[in-house]
Amino acid sequence: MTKEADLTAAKTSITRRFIACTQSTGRIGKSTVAEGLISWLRYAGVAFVAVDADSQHQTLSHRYPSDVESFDATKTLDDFARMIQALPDFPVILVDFPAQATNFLLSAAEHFRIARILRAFRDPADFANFRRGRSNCQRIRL
Amino acid sequence: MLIFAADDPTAKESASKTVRFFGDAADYLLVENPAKYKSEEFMRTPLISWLAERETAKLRVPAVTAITINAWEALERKLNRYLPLDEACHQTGLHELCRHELGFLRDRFLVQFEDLADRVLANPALIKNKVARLTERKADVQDALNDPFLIA
Repeated sequence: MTKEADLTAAKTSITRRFIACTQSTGRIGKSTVAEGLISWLRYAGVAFVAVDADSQHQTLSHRYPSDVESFDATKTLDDFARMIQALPDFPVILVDFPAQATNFLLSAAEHFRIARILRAFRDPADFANFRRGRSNCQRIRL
Repeated sequence: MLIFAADDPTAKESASKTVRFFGDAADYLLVENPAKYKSEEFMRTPLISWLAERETAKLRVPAVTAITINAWEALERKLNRYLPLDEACHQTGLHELCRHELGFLRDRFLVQFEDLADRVLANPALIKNKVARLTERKADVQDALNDPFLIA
């Protein structure tokens, strides 16, 4: 299969987007961009879930209380796992992480093998297997 | 993953770590916020070349003056409630210039995210309401001999 065909197959296998606003510096525009994205998703009529993981500022959860849930997912791996498991099947999931959270996020992503799971999403066959295995995933409210 | 272009070494290091970790397992969107970086140093890093090789899309955050941001936050305090961007654009409690500036910010986000729908959504067909775009008026051809305002 060519690289282009690989990419096409990968794109068709994607059923939802997890969008992470993360970078280890404050006041860089993370929440502004997240707010712009929320404005567009609302305007475009696209179903989405947003999590404001920036417990210090909580700009998004204050401005969009009906659309954004506040939850600090960057304290412990348990919190991160609770957030991931509670995410519903929406086409777009947006998480605004706090500044200085990159190291924690990457260690959590490594712990939960998230990069490997994402790669599985690139292959339709693996993705289908992954979906089948997901039925045991327990959902809890944040 | 949203990668924010920045001069700040911590931000650059964070972006680099994130991209090294996820590699091709994630899609990236490069966010340029001119208010937050003043030099082209970030654009000269190998990270940018790596993103460019993958045709990473860019999103440019429109500049908004501190006066407008402060006025928005001051109005929130005055009203004792938070104002979403959509609502702030129409608040008569804000000076007209501030409203226009916030309206421009919102409109630029709407247009850019719609243009980047294939990166933001799993399927662009999910869009139910498209952004109305202004069409540029074609400039009239200058013809002094047939100018209706000059023909006697």
